[in-house]
Amino acid sequence: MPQTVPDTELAFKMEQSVRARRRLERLYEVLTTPGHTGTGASEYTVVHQDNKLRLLRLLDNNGHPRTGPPVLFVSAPVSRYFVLDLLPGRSFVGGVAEAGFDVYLIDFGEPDQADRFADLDYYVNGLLARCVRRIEDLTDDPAPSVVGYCLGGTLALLYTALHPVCVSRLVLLTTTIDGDVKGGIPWTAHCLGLPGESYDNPRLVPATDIKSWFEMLAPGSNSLLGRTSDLWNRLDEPVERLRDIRTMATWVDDVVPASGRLLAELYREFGPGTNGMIKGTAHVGGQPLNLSAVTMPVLSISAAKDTIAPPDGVDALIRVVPHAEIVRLPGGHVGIVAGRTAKALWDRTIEFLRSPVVDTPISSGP
Amino acid sequence: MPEQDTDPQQSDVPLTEQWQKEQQHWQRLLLTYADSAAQDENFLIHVGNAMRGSLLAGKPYPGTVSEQPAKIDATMTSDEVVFAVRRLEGQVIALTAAIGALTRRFPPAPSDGPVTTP
Repeated sequence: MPQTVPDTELAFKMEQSVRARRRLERLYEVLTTPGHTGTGASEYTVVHQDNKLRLLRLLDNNGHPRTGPPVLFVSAPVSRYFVLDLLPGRSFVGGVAEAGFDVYLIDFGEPDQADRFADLDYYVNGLLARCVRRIEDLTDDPAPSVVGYCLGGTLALLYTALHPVCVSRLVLLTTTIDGDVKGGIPWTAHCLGLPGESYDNPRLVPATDIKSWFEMLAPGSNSLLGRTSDLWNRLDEPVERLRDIRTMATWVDDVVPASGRLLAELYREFGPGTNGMIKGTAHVGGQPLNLSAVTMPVLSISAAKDTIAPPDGVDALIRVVPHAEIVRLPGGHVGIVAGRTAKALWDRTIEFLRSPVVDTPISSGP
Repeated sequence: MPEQDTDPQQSDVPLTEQWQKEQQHWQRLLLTYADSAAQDENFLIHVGNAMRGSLLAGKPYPGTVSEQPAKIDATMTSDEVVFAVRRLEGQVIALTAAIGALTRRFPPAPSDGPVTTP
């Protein structure tokens, strides 16, 4: 006589089966709808090109440049620029432009083998300085506001310290200042005793290596098993939410190679132990860095759950730029800029950019 | 997308029948995946990414495709020269912009006529 499966067991098995099937149906639906295109959401025109860099100027609904005060956004050179311009209605730069500003956005592009020799001086006194010069040509404003995100914030701060008369306001978003604070890629690499990049004999650091560094920050959840398990569980969520996750993945998982010399110099000047930003020992292009030259209004925003730029290391700006306004928002490194709760950061930034600049004497840089 | 027909978990239908219906759903779903994989290479890439826990669209997850080994000049000379030229190009851009700005700020005085030498 054949053995029959008890009803309760069959019911349980079927419940599991239906649940798994529905997850795969949702996954199919997400995978077969067009994903993010890997470009920005806003209309723009390229107003300047320099090696791989493109300086994008956002256009209004009629395809014309805006005439408000200029604001330059500096993205991180190790990731794609479009996190700042993710989707229509979910674009940080788009929101700032809608608020009446003439918005410029740097796309550093993807470096090639020869660019592995690019150093901090090239990025700060070269690429960034020429973007500001171009904005002045276009607007007759010699000092735009500058907004830097993550490593882009580091470049923006260095540029501001070296050329203080060329920046009217500075906004730093999740930008690490204190390299000795626990957490983040340089600190973790330091603790693991990783050899680091060579300044004298640099390589073009492959995207896979950079990706692995981010995964190193949370070895469990960022491992292959952790990621797969996380996605599998998230497939219970509505398709619209999964499309959001997919959009974010198109940025998070699409890192770019980086200049080994740049990374070596950043680590040497600002990494754990050296911590040149706090200790005042850093140099860029042979010039000593003088953060006391940063006298214009400064806003720094950290994310409470940031594992890439730990908030304590970001908020440490107050120790070297005492007049800076320090804000900590709930969320993670990417979420506060481009997630569902990013509006808090956008609104705070716009409010800051609109605030009047109080004339303060600018001490001359070294 | 597989047909979203009636929920197999219906209390008034015997469980064995529900189970059979569920198996049919699975067959349709797997066929749909197989069809899409056969028709669209991108779909395969996206399934591959999903199997690595990523919904990255349009390209394979980093590290899943063997990258061409980078051609590196052993002496680094040519790459270093190429980058030095790029650095110079940037400086020329800056210089040209500076001259342009100066010209706009201080336009050349209109001359009275061609300068002649005695």
